[in-house]
Amino acid sequence: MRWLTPADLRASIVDDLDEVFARRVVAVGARRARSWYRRQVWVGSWALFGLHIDRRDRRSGHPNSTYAEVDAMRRRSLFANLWQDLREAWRAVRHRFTFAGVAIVSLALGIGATTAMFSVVNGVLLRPLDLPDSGQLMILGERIPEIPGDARFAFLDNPASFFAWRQQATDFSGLSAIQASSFTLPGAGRPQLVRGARVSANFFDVLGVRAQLGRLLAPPDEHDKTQPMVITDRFWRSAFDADPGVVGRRIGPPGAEAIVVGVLPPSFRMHGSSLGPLLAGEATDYFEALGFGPGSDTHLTTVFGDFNYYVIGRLRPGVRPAAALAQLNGILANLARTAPEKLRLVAELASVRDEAVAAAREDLWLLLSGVLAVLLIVCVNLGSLWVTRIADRRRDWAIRAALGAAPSRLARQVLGESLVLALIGGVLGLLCAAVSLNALLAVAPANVPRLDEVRLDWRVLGFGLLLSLLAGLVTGLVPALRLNRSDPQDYLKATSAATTADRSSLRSRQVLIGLQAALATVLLSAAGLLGLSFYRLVSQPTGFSAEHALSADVMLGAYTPAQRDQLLRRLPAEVAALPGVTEAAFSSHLPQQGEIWIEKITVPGRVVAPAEEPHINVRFVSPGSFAALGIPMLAGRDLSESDRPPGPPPTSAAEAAAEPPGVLVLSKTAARLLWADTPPRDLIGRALVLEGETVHVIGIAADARASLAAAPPAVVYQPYWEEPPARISLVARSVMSAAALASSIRAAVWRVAPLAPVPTLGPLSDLEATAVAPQRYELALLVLFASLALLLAAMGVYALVAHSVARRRKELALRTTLGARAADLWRLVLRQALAPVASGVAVGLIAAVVVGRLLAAMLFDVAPASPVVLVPVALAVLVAASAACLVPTHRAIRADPWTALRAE
Amino acid sequence: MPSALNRLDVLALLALERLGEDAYGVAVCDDISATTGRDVSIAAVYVALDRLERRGLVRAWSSEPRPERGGRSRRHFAPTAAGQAALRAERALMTRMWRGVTVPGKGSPR
Repeated sequence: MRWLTPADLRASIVDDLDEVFARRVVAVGARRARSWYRRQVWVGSWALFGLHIDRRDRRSGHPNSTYAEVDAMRRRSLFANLWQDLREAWRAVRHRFTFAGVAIVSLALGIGATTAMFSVVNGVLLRPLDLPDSGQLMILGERIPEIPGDARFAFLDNPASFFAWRQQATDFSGLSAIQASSFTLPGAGRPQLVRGARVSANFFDVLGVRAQLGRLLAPPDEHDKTQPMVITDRFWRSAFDADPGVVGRRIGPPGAEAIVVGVLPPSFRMHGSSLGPLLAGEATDYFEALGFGPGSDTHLTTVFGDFNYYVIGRLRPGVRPAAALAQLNGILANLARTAPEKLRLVAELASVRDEAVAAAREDLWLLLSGVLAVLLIVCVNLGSLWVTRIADRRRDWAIRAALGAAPSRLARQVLGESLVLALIGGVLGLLCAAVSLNALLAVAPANVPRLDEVRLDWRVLGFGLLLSLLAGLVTGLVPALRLNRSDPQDYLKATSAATTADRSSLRSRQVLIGLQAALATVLLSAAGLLGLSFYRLVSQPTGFSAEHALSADVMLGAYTPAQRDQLLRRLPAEVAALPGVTEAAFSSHLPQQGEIWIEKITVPGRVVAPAEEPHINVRFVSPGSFAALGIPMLAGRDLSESDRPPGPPPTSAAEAAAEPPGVLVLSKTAARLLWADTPPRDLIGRALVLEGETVHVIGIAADARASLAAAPPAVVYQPYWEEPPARISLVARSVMSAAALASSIRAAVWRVAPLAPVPTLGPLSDLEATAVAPQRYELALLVLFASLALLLAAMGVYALVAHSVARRRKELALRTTLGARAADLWRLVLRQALAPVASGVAVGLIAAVVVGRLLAAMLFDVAPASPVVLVPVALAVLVAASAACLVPTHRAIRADPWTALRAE
Repeated sequence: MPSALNRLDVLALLALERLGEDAYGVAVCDDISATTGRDVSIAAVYVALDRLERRGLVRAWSSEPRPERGGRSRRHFAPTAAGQAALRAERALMTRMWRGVTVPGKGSPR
């Protein structure tokens, strides 16, 4: 303090302090005197600090000014009254900007989330493909109505149909067939799989794509023995290091190399994204010409033959899809008539983009609706806050009204203010959207189509702006309407707490609360329905045991069938010999990988109409595959190497006919399909005809699902030597993790088959996880939205109750003094607060049933109006609302009634 | 128009009036304590008196050191004419503000 004291006062102050201190010591004792001294020092320091500031001010002013001017200067000097000024400013800001702050932040979050979701919807569903006139690109399909379930494979077409369409369908300027293909790059001990497609020569003309380097495919290439190949930009960079002289270079397995003739532009991507179902999810690196032979192969002319090609086409300008479809149908009808089978062929036509995103469509719209509902709740919350604010400041409004402001002007002012807040919130929200979009995309499952085309473009920004305007309007609507219709006189009568203005404001807020409760109920129900559906879906028995097992895809395309037979014979033993592996086997396709390789099968001696011919899935497996997969045998036995016919494989049809019949194992569903009433045990030894060959049943295995949502298919398991597959999935049982075993499994495979790429390796449980990943993602988002909705609704109830009990303090106090018990007060307050919630929930439940019906297609084994979901949801909303009431009501009822009554 | 005096200023001026010649630092502080019934900060009083001096309402001088053991030069204060005028104005203001107001004490019906 000594240091603080200006020189001129120092002596006086310090000496005086000492003097009084001495006196005090005598009067009240040393300790009291010392504490007095300490107090003096503290307060004194503060006063002296002020003096310093005063003096510094004055030094800059006139030394001889009158005290009036000096005081004026002092007042002007911000620094002198800094503390006081700060406090004033803080109070003002807090008063005005708390409301604004809350409004802006919650609107920003709501608008941001909605915009992010919309950008996904826009990128996936609404934006046209990145190709010229992409609206004209169609994918053509055909299906056989007589065969149930054939519609699932509608877009896989037959070469005969393709040729017929190509010749006769004048509504299309070009048609092209596509078939997936791949080859192995031997790469230095690590064979690499390169995926591509074989396409008709006019493929790129149909798409409207131009080459970046070199040229694209042309009709002569279909017969060119040098195998011309067009590569994608991505592959050009990864495999050729963006070599500008790539045209003319060769690539491929030795002895079967292709020659690069051109590079596609970087904007052309053909995997799950741009052209969807065509090459489902795999990146495509090259294109070769699809050489249908000069019509010599019978499979090209059989009408009901090899449905293994995709066909795309470009509509002529001005042609409508319906007309084109009719033309295609006519061509197919003529074609079907020429075939011996008495079946019909019906054409299908869909835009390429629509077909690509068809699976995601419903889910995305559902999510967008969910997030819009949350935004709506936010707006309603804010509207309710506005109403409170107006009610609280009714004197302000009344004075303004009395000063001549018409109610409509006030209403417009409120609307304007809420629009401004919403626009600011919207701008912030767009920033939020950018951030949350990255997060959303980062955790999105890989099989959502076109996800890489999602970005914040002009349409999204426009949507965000429009949304902000709408949000502002919705938020300000109710309070503005109230102001518009109200009489300013109401606001001036402000003595009693129960004015009509208050009551009607309360009613408005109750309606808003009810609306929030209804929205929250609907969202929660939707989340609950989907959640229950998901749970039921994944808790189904899969039929095989995925624990402690790994799977690896092994591609054997580089080998001839005879070579494959040899190495497949050695492969399981090689892998099983690895430390940590208990069993190893393989299958051409695993359960949960969908249905594939569908063939007709006949029971000898049974005559069946062509439409009723049983179709089954064929799998080529190694002995021990059932044990490796954990599929129990129900009857008979597994395949074994001893079932292999002795001697070299047949090289002619005659030899093949002379061989003993092959063996196979049926799945339970297949057995039931073929011999419905016979118990499995009795089926052992029975004969079947598959692809012209007679085979005997040696065992019946339990069912394994091909996909979660469908019933298990009828499967026939043949030994691999019957037709060594070009691609197998290896299964190894081990307690070790996939990461630990990955390199040793690959090494084991390459010891046996050095030219076999192993593109995927992972735990067996990944199969199911990948299959349900989109649903899990969607459910997670929906649960998030629903929780937010519930939280916001609860907050709305909290605010309502807090405000209304604050207003009714006097009334509650009066009731207490007149003898009301705490329980009665509770009932009174809760009834007022929960009545709107209850009616909101009731309305919400009805809406939830309607929504459930809309969602019915997405629900698995759950009724749209399932009480298992609806009842807990209703309870949850009521409980949350009640919980929100607790604190303010408790505080109000506990308050001393006398203070409440007096403080008026 | 003279600007407002704050409370401590008024108390200090009143003390000066009351004490007359003997208005030095400690005495002023004691007087204010006695009047208000509360401890007062010595430094704050000096600051107030300093401010009053700069506004021309008070004049200050240092006295000769007292001829006794521990005696020192003391700072004395006295109100100027302007200071007295300010006090009078202050009293008039108070009177105007309190006119017509009765603050009910204990026992009055309310």
